[in-house]
Amino acid sequence: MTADQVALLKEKFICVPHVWGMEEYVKEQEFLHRVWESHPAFLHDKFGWHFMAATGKVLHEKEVRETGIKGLERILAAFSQLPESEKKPRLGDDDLKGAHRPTEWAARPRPPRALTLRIFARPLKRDARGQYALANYTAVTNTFEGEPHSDAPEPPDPTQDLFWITEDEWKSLVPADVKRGVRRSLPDRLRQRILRFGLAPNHAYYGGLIEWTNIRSSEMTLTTEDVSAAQVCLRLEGSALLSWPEAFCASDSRLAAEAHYDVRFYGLLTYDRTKSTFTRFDLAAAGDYWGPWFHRIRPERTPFGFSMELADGSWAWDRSGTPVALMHLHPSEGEKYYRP
Amino acid sequence: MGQNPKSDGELLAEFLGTRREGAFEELVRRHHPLVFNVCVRVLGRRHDAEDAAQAVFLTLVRRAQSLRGAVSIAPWLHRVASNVSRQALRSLGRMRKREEEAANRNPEAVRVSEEWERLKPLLDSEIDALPDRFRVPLVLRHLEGRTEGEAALAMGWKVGTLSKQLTRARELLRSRLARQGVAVSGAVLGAILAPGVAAAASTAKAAALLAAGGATAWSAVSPQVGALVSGGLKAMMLAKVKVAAAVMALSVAGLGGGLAAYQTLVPQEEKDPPKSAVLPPVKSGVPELTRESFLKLHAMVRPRGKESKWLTAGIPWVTTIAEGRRKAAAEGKPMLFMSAFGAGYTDSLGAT
Repeated sequence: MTADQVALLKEKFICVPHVWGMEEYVKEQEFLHRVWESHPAFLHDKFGWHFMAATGKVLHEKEVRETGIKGLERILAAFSQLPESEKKPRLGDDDLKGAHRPTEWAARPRPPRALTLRIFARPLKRDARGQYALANYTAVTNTFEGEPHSDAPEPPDPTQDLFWITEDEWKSLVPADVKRGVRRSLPDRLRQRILRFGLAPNHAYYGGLIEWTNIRSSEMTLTTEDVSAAQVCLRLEGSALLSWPEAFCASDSRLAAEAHYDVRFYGLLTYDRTKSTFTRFDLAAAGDYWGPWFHRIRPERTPFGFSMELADGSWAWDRSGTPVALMHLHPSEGEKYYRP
Repeated sequence: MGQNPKSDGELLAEFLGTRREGAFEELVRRHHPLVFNVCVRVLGRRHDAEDAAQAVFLTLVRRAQSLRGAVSIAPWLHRVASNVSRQALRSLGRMRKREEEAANRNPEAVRVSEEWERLKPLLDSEIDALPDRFRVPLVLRHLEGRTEGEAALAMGWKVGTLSKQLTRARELLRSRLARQGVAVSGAVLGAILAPGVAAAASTAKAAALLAAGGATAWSAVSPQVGALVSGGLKAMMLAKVKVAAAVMALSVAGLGGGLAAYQTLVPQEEKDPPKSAVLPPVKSGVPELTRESFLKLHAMVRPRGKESKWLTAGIPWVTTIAEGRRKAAAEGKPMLFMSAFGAGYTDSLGAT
């Protein structure tokens, strides 16, 4: 995507990324279905760019990948030919939203002063020295019988999601009396939130929600590395063994009843005492996953890693604040995210 | 247990920090059925079992500090309840009498209800006497109520292996019970493990007093309970010797997974040093993360270069469909609707 494309998109278009589960209201879902019915390709094209008016009137016939400046200009020309009723329809809330769907909880604003983290995840491999490296599609899928997803040599983009931790939770990381070298356990509530909701999307995908009883073992500690008048630097270390039921695959095999993640953590956190907030929350998690993997079983251990960082608001995505995987896959379980 | 989302360790930490009775009361409410069932099976009389159960929870107060990181304290409580009950039975002088009664009866003439009565005091001691490779999966599956998958995971076994070991364990248990004069069926075994009745308030009160200062607590409990608490703590010290022997035996047998599972059942106080009451991970080749590997990994997993450009290029994405349509209609602009299908959160995992 070039700078010219970005500039044109910013100026002339309203850009909406359709993420699973983002249709919070009945009317949003109805709108999508209406567009899908008129342009079935829209449903099946995974990464297509689709241009339409606010009414749902599609502005092109074929699938569109990332389009160049000329392509964008053709879309604008087609849009300009539409009647005003298509270009500037009168839409009230009743047309746009309607009743809430079961994901009502996800439409709530984040708790005040919640700290939002971006989560990225990738399948990994371990090299001859046992160090982590990126895995490509083939490495991920070639143990399946048939249906290799791709032979692309390049590693796929990371998956992404968000989650937030409440003010009480992040404040619990910094006791009033901080001393360099002091090591203590990560508060239970935050430990659980990270283990149960922070390791999405992989864990949430097609699987049961991780309940606290699925945390077979875990130990997470915080060590104060440095203290000054301006900031407190903390190191987070830990490990966990999770196993949880995967209902989707349960009928395939007895092995499918359980998914497992044997994971290690390391993180560096900085608390700014003058701003009374965290300015760094870098956390990595890596370990072995085994068990159900989409429609199949993956009994061998597969290295899998997460990277978390503060969402600083520079991406529109940051402001969404809703854990997408949870919202899509466990819409009725959202309350647990608010009160883990 | 699902009503209160806090873990056992979290409730213990809250209780230790605030001395709030409610936190301990919740723990008693959760685990009283397990503890009371063990006690009543061994002791027979409800009143004696209630005393013993109270002693178990007061022992928990004494050991709470080292258990505060536990996700579940049920395995620890089962072992302590078994020890305390048997000690109580000895002190009550009924064990010999019951064993004599059992030996003198003709199994053929025993009705189911009588069978039940005779089985109850024997069951836990006979389970405890099983070799660890049979005892541990049996406790995990039947007394803790884990699924076969969960129990297999804890043992480091395949589910099929677990099933075979469970079958052999039940057969062995039945034969041991038969030698005691009780022919037990699977149905009876299941029935005897049914939940009991919980009662929490008085125990929580005594626990709060004990945690607060100790001496005044004993006025809230009977002398029998006080003696059982002391005896229970002594029994736990003795158990260290048994644990060491069992661990060594399992190691010699090469049952690494079994060792991990065995550890899940062992009260943390029996370990040296008692670093934490959480269940230890199954031994694996997962490398620990260091500062160096963390820095590399953290940068490696997040988007790099041209990856996820749609996300990072500074496009002001509108993150709801309704808001996108509203803005497009108001400003007279077309919408770019990027069908990201989970914004890529499944694609890199090989899903199509």
